[in-house]
Amino acid sequence: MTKFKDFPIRTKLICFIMISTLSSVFILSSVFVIQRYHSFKLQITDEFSAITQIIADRSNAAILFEDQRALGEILSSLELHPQVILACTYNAEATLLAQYTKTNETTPSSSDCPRKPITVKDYFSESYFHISEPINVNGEKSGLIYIQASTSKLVNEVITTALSALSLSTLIIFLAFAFARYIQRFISNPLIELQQSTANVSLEREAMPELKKRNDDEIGALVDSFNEMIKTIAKQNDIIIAHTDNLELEVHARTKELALANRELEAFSYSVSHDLKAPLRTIEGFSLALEEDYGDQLDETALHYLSRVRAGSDKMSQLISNLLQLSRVTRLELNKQAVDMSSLASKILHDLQKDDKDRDIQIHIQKNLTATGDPMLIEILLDNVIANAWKYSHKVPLALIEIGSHAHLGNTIYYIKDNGAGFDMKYANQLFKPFNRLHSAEEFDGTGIGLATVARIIERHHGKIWVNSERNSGTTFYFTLFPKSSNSAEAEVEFVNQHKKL
Amino acid sequence: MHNPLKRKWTRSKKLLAASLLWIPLLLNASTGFAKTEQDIKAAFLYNFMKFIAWPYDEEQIEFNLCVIGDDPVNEKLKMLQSRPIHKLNLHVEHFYALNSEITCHVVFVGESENKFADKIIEFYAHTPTLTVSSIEGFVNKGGMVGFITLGNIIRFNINLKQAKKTQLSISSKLLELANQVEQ
Repeated sequence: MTKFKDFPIRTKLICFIMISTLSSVFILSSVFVIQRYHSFKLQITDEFSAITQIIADRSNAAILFEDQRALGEILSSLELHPQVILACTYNAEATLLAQYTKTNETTPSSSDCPRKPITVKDYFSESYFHISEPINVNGEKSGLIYIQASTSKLVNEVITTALSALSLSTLIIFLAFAFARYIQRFISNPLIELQQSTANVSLEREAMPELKKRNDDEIGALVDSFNEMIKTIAKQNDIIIAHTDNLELEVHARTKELALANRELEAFSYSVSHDLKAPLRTIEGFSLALEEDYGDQLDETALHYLSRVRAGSDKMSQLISNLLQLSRVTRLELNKQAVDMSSLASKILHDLQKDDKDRDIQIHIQKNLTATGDPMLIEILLDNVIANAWKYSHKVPLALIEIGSHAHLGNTIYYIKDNGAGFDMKYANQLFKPFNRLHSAEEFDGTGIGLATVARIIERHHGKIWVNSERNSGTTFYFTLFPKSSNSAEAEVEFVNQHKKL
Repeated sequence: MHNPLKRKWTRSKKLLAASLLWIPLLLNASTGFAKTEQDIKAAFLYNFMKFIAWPYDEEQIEFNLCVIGDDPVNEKLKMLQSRPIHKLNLHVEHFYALNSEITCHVVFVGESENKFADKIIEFYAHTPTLTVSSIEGFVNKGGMVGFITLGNIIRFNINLKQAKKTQLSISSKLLELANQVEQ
């Protein structure tokens, strides 16, 4: 059910006017009818008091001479009064001397004079008025006149008054309703227009036609302010639209420029890396030839220098291939398919063990670990991360590398865990930037490009990579590939915290 | 009706009925409710005075009712002595001859004066004196108010013409009640 406060203003206004009119008309009518009733009663009392006095006065001689005929004649003069239905004359000893009863077909005279006259002066009974008047002769009470009158006239008068009050009230209520309907136009119609215009403003972006002002009252002022507001909004809208268009164009242009610059940069780095390889191969080739062909002619120092030249060129070659890999990772098109992570990881570890047979290392790889992604890129990813783990767990006597996954909120989180050197978590945000190294080259060798490449691969798979580490107790890398929900940042943090405890 | 017992009973019932019939009479007599003709006439006479206005006279200290001759009402009239009337006290005066020393407001002519009624009426014809009597044809002779008996009801006739001559004004109410009014 709708509450009254939610009714339209039009209905409320009409309700208020009608309620006030109805209540005032009702109160006025009631007062009027009650007042009329009392005045009629008073009128009846006055009228019959006069009549009774006249009758009593006229009867005083007859009562003294006990002339019942004359008394009867006097009483029968009441015949002229239609309301009188019974009249009685008593003498001083309260003996009935004369009686008048109205003989009428409509009102059968059922009543007779009471044996004893009434003692009160006058009173109203259910449908009769009773009045008595003493008959005085020279101040001496010689008898009593009693008159009983019908109050049907009073009832009729009251009914007539009530009916006329009712018809007048109905007329007033109709007028009030018409007036309310008329007056509410001045208040609710402009408001409705205003409301509709406001609704249109929010629905359509087109410029609003100005609202017509009807009156000079508060609503008129409201219409004025509304028009002013519409103008301001339209003006501001134009500015905003102009700005937006401009901004879009600008963004578009910048994006284009940026894409061009990116492509140029990639092409440049690729060509630089590629072109650098040729002179490097020359340095490598000739330094090898020098060592092989003239090794016996060179002294120890010269041989040492030569080996330094070869180590430097090796390092440079590695660096260049890493850079090439990084640029390739960015450039190549993604070939999305199912990847067997378990076999990839075991192959990588197998290769690592082949190069370093003396390492005593424990390896755990989760079986049937699969992922969706580019197999080549994922291989590079795993290669880098596992190589990291291999490298940084080098100095630990009982090295352990663990590769596996957790299901979390419908996503698979992969992890690669080692119990190696670890690092301080305050440097964690520098980890995935190229050429940033947390350990010195003397401690652990590396180019500082590996994790940047990893981050780029994860990015291309719309995934996330994060790390949890502690100095001298190991590092765990976590990553996701094509996660279902993008807002998993908090979930990851929560997950990490959970696993920290474990 | 051959049963003697029954007859006896009937007789006693008759006796009882007779004695019962007497009870209201006895009661009336003892309580004064019994209104004899004389009672009524005396009351009427007193009431006449109430509905008749006498010409104004400041020096009056008593209102005189003069009774002339003998009449059955006389005893009752004496009982009106000192009754208030027109703010004065009624004084009843009884005599057998015409007396000019006393101003009579009302003169009641006794039945014994039947033969002298004309004289008495003549005597008071020019003074504001109300003449009342039970003598037959009293009004026709020039008397003002005359009692008559209609069956067992006592009524009265009024000679308005005579009353007007003596400046007595008789209330229309009284005239209404009169059996006959001579104009």
